[in-house]
Amino acid sequence: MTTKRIISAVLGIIAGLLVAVVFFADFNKAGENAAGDIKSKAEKVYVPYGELDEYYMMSSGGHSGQLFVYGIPSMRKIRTVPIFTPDPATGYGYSKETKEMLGGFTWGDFHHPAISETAGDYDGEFLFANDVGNNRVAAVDLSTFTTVDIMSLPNMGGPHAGVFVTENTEYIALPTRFARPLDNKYADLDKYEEEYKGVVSMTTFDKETKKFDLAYQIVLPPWSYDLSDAGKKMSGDWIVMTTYNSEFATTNLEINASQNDRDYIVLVNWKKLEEEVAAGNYHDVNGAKMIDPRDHKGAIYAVPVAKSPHGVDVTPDGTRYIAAGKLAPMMTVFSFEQTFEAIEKEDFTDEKYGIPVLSYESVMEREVDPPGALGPLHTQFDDKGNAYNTMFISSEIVKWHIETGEVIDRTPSYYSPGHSAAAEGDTVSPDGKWLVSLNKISKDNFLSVGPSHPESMDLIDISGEKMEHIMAVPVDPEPHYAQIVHRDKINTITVYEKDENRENSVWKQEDARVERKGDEVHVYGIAMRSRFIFDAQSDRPDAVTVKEGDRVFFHLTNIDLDQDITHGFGINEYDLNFEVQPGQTSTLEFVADKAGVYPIYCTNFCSALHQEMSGYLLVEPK
Amino acid sequence: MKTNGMIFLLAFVLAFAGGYFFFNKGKTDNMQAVTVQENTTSKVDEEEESEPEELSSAEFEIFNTNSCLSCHAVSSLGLEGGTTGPDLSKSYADIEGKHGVDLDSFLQEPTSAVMTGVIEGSPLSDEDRAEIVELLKKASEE
Repeated sequence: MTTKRIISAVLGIIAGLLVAVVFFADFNKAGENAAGDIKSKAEKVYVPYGELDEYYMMSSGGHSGQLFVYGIPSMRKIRTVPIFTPDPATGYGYSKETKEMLGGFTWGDFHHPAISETAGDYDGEFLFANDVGNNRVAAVDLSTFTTVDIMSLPNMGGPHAGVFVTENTEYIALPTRFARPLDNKYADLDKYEEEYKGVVSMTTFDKETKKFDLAYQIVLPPWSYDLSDAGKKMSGDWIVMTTYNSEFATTNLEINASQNDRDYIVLVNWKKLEEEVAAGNYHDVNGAKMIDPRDHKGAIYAVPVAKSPHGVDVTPDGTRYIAAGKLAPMMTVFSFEQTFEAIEKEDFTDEKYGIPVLSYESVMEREVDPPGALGPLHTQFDDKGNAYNTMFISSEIVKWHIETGEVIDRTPSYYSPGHSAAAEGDTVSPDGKWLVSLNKISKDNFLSVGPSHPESMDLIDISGEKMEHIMAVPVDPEPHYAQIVHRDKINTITVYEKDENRENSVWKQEDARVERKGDEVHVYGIAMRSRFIFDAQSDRPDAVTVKEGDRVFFHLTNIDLDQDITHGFGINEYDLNFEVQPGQTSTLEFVADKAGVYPIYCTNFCSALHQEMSGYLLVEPK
Repeated sequence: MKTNGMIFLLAFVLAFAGGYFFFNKGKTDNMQAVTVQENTTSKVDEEEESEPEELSSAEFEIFNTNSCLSCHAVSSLGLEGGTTGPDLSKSYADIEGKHGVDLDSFLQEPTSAVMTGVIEGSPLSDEDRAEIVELLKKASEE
């Protein structure tokens, strides 16, 4: 009897558990974990409506000639800022001021952004851009995210190795990629070694007038200067540059510039050269103060480095510079302290073209060679003494410790990263939160848009011991380098200041007028919600009549001093369009070379009655 | 026999219930976390919505009763409002240049299409208009 009862109880329990397991147990534990994992990644990048991203990412736009502004961590693209390329969406390159700034060029090749720095940290005031395509440097005012100055650089052959700034933005430096004869001279390629020169442009920027100046240029052997960085703190007086083509190849560089086992990192003391230039020790070449650092003891040294290095980056504390191998699959850590010691002791192994070559063994601290990691290109940093290297060929990011060289973690990227950008990762105080891998190849990771696939960017969380790949997003061609700056450092304006003394500005309806000076017609007009007023005295204040062949100037002031009220101004069939921001005065200049009647209209949606914001340009035939 | 059946049933129910609690514990925790999250979010929303009212003192109530703030802010007086129309902080000083008439005249007979519609729909009383002009004069001097 008792046995039977026990058996019943045991059977009951077994049956109960069995049914409970069938009903409630989750056999998809593994699957659910994966789903939970994805959700947590999504949560990391989700910025709810009403909140803002923590960081701006300022990304170069390569041969688009533009700056791409992203929010991090959401990876939402916020803005395209035209720098070297006309942009009808903002009227850049159409208005008189911006057209003059572009100087007739229609494109640029923007590789490396550099945010202005104070004491080695981003101050968020300006961003500088290089144009490898047409030898220029540009400044973007980060209070308005508009380009405020562009300067052409003589004697250069594509300033690829710039821009980088010295630690207090004393200089914005741009070393050339291709050697050319100086002063636009002609010289046969057979004369390469004698007649062709490598040049570094040292430019300054006045924050008040917002203008560049070419302080001086440094003439160097015709190696190719690839990338560069400025020292920090103890190394603040120095710049470091990688070179390739120490072979002086003039054709088929892929093979011929990759022969030597060692190329060089060139170290230049810009403080020393600054003093020499101030003392008048330079030659005028094509309008530039050209100085040869080999004429001045202590101004230039070379350090041998494994063949064809690419990036060279100074550590946040300024004590080391790290070369990434490109063709040699390793990172080489050099010590500034040992470098200065070797210079002091004149520990030179050689002299190349008048440049003392320091002993590699004396200045090299360590070689970091993660097994199977190929094609290291660039180094970024976090706040815990770690370095992060992009590996172009093996498509990964390698995290390693600078002091020990220990490889801590490796994570794939999709695919073939060039640069990466860590949050404030090239300053004296990196944040160590995010890293964006700027990839050259995306293969089939996104919906296909035909043979030209988008480039891509991976967002990687670097706050933990292990890196965590969060997401990949497509991007227009072609980010080379980016800087990630905390939003607190960027202070934008919403409305241009009402300056009644500003040239060509009009602030009152009654002052809107048309003035003829010979065959020039100057329209001093107003744009406001939702009308144009070109001539207050006219029965039709929004119509302008000119004669065929007149040179016409529309000086337009947007008097809506109100956030986000931009007015556009397009002239039908005249291929003209520009914009005026709230409180801004801008000028459109053109020759009315086509007779007829041409509608004018506001191109940037401004109000419910935007469609009515229009007028006419009447061009009387000759 | 009957007793055995009862014992079986009792053991079954106990084991079944035990199994339910055992397997669902994790899920319940997650659900609680989600609920907490939702509460936080809605709390933030409420605070945001109530902000403009907190800021407007009795002195500025006139902007509310005439619905000015549904389209305009007056930031120099600390009044948050809609974003459709311009911030009125400098309107007293700027209106004559911009619209060709002074503020008092504009509020009687606006020279822009949108405000014409607004004022036609609900004209301001003479007292209210005078008070608004006075306050916006003060705002432009802030």
